[in-house]
Amino acid sequence: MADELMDFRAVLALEAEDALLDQDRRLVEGLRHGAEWAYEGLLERFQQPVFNLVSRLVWEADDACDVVQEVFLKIFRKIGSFRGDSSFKTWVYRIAVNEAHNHSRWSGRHRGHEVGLEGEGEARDYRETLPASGCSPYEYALDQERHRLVGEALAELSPAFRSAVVLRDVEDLSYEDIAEILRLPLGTVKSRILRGREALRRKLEKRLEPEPELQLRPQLVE
Amino acid sequence: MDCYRVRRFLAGYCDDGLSSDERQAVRLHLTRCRNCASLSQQYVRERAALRALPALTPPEQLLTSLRILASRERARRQLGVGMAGWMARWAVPVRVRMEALMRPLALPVAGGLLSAVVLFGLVVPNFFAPHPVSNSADVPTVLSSEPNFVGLGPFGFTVEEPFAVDVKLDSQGRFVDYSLPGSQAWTKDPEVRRSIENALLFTRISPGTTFGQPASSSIRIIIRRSYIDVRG
Repeated sequence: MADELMDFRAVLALEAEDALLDQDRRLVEGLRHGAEWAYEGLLERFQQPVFNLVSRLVWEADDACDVVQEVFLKIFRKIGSFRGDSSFKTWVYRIAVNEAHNHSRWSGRHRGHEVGLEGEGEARDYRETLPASGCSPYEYALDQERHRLVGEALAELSPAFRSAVVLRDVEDLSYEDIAEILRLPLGTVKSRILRGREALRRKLEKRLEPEPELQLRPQLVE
Repeated sequence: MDCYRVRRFLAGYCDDGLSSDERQAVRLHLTRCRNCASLSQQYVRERAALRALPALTPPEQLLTSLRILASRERARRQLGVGMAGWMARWAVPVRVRMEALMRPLALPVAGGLLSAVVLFGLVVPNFFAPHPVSNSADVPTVLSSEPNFVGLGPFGFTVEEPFAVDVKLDSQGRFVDYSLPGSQAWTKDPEVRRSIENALLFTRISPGTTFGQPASSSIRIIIRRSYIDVRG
């Protein structure tokens, strides 16, 4: 019975994947012909995942917005060069990762020379755009703190490890897809993910340790 | 498998990053080693924390910018790519700017051009004298006029080839003198000269005028066998 259920789920997953591939194929054709619905469909499907991915790799909300626009500009202009060797999603993610890396390199060289127009207090962080979770204020604050710690630790990783870990553990992509996105051999991808996780574990070792339970010791009043 | 090797594999143990043999060996080791098991739990917590990171929502400003970008790129693609598309994209703003530039000037320029044409057509003909009409009884009123050949005398010539005669006339149009330009041998022949003189004596020529009055003048007559060409 359990095996049958597993088979049924696998068939459903395959059908869903085929439907997605077919949808991507039509989307690409529509984009090549300049169809309005295709541009709408592309934004609807990829604007949130691409923003999410780029935000994890760039880690500055304003920079992430700029990079996302660059990513979509490249998609619109290079759609003719998409040959379909990989899935459309992989191709889009590859552009996003490359643009984020390019931006990080550029930012590393030029950031020190820039002066922001906004004051420090007015800068908006991506965390302000998070939807309300519906949990208690304490849990919400705890989650926020945990996310902040994880985010900071992630930002401290080198770009090569960070992109591999984000694609695997945040975006939940397969090793094969990550290898295609990063254009690296599968072994190198696995190695980067393992080393990235190890580096991240060292940074989070003490920050994410479970809190010691509250222990009450009754004492006699003298 | 010892702790050193297991720890190299632990980061991949929390997902399907290991082969089945490696996974089996690590699992066996973790049941026996508390330190490695604790380390494995750290990886599990780390991965859970990463997966629990909330999906970020793009700000409204970015969504608007992306829609504008999509609209612009779609228009660009519809115009075409390459040189033709580039020219088409440039043609639109150039045409708009030219129209904006020319529209205020169109009416004055057209009106001015039309007025110039009308004035030119009315005024310019007055600057030129009318052409004299041949065989007309009108007396020309210009400063001077050329003598007019009327008819040759009824005598033949013995000269076969065409020749010219420069004739001097008095104010009555009568033959006074003549000369034969050129140095052909027959011009010295008295017989030929006599026939020319006879013909000229009876040739009718109306005299030229100065300020409307007949005056002495000269005329060159070219004589051919078939016809006579007269040049004033």
